[in-house]
Amino acid sequence: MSLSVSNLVKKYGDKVVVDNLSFEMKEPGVYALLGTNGAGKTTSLRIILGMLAGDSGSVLWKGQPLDPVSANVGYLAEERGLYPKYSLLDQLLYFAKLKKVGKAEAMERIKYWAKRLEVEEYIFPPAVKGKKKNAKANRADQLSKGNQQKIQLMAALISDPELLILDEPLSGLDPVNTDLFKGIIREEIAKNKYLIMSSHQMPVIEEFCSDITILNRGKAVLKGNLNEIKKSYGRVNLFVKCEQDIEKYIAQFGLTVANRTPEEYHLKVRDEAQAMEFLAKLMQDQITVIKFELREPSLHEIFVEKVGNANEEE
Amino acid sequence: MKRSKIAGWKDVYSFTLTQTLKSRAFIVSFVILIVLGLVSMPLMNLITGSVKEEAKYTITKAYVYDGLGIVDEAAMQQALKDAGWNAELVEKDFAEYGSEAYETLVAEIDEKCPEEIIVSVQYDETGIYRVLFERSGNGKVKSGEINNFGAIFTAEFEEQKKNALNLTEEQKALIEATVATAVSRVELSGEVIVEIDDSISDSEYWILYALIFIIMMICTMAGSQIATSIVTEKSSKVVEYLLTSIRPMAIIVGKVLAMLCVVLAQIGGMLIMLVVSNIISTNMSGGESVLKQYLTADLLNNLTVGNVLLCLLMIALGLVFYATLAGLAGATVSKLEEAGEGMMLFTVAVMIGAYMGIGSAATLLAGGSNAFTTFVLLFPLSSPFVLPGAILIGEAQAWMIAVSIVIMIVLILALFAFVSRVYEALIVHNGNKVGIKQLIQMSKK
Repeated sequence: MSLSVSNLVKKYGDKVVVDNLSFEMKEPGVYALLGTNGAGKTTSLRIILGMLAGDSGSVLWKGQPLDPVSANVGYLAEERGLYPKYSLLDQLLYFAKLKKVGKAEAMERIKYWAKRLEVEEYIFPPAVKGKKKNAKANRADQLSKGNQQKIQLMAALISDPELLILDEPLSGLDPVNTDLFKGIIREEIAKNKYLIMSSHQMPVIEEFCSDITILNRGKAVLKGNLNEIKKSYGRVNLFVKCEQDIEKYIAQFGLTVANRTPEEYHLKVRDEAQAMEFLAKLMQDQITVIKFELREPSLHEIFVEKVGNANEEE
Repeated sequence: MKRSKIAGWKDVYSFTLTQTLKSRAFIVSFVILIVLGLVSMPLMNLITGSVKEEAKYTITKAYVYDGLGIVDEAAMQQALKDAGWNAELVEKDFAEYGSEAYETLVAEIDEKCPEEIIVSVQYDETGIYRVLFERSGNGKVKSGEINNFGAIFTAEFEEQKKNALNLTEEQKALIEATVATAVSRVELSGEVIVEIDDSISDSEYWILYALIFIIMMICTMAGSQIATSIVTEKSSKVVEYLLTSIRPMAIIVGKVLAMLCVVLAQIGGMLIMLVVSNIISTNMSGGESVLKQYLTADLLNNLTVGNVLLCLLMIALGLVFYATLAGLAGATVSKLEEAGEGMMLFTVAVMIGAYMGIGSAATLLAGGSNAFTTFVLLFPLSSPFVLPGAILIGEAQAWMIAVSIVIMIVLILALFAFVSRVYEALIVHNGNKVGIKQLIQMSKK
């Protein structure tokens, strides 16, 4: 086992912001921390990184308490931080030096990532013949939010970390840059890295993560392997699109309408057998079925259900 | 302080130092300080009119009326010549200052000979020698020139006054010797305690005062820059990234020392320029160097290598102490706009320390050392301001220096540990400024 987070607790006065959080990563891969705003995701990540002292609990990395200073850890914080007035290259070299990466190697990596993330022109502004060099051109405060995020990701990756913690890595990115970031995350996974990711974007989590924990007000309301969680819910989501109106069949079978669009119905069935019976009846009555999709609930649906239920119970 | 806790401070130090030195804000403020230092004394000379220019040699003739018979004309002429004056001295006997003959000469100078002056030497009933100068009203001979001329004339007159008594060198030395008083008191036990008058001279007082002022200026400038630098790092969230690579104490140590060096570079540059300025000013006015007026022979006698090193050590410790306090001020706030509020405690500490220092300097001038001055020399808030000066003028005893250095080192180490703990605890703090009560609670955790 390489990463083990056990019974983390953090309180601010009487308020419990992280309530007994535990999870493990036995193999390289991506672990997701999900939750609403203020659920305790960032606080948990800060405790894992040792940036914030927990009231109790432990974080072990390769069997030893995790010390981000001695371990090779990369971190992309939710609130992006760069020195606004300093040169980007100077900052990246400084971050690399703190991570004990030699200057020559750091330069190589900066060049590689600058090209990969398409920010070469900001880090190495080209000299224009006959024009005076603009001292501000390579400063963080001259960059768009998305480009600052790219520089921040470079800082997180500059030491080629074994453990990479990404707090909302794709928030605020346009679709093109989202794909760019996704590509890099895929590459890091392929390199057998350990990744912890927090995100609000459920499709992203479904795309990358094998294991998840859903946090609600600091408490884990659901935890485990994403496929197994989905399986445990069964295939109870039925999406049907027909040429004729099927309302009377829905009522006849006692199905719940989760959502209805002009195009199709999203129905909740008891089990697969009920769905098959429903399909058989439509076929028998010569209803033209254009779409019949029976599937597990999406992570979004599980998330809404779990967080919603927990809030209702409270 | 564990070595592992500050590992990497040099990287923080060199990065902070380099980036600050490269910043436009530093370059602009440095240039302003340098220019201010360079032009300060010549500018003062221009304003007060004591500039050499052509005016120094405007006076062609000086009529000397010496009613006392003290002035040795030949020696005076030589003294003026040595100082670069070619004015001819002409002895004149008016029988009385303001007599008809005197007024006639004054009128003649005013109308026909604007480059000539009259010098009258008198002794009045209040027991004061007076050297009076009369010049033309058309302004050809400037008052600055008269001041310079008068400085040389009166200095030579002082010597001639003593020579007129026909004293031996031994007798002269006796007269020139300073007078110190000592009071003895007898305790009930019968023990006789001699209270030596160890009050300081005016020059020594001004040295103390100047050092207190310079150290206060460095503390204030460095403090403000350190606090701002720490708050900026917190508010820009860079610190979250830094903490995955380095411990809080290393960040604090690196930043505090770097910003301190930045301010020392600024002040050092300004002081060097002040010395250059003094040289320029002295050459311009032809008078005595301003710095030389305060650096008397007595003072220079105390300037041993040991004293200078101890003085520098004490200044360094004091600056680190106050810089760490400023670091604490920066650590207690999370937004740049709150930095001023966070600096309140620091500013109060600097004010208390500096004013106690000034108070003790005044006490030393008025009556010598006592329990208050000893306390001020040892108290950590005030010793950084007053002890360096006291060492230079020989007013600090060895045990005081030793105790003060030990106190400062212990306090700095404790303060660094405390500040880094506060910094660590408040790194992701986004609320209002943290109060003293909460800080004390944090230190107990």
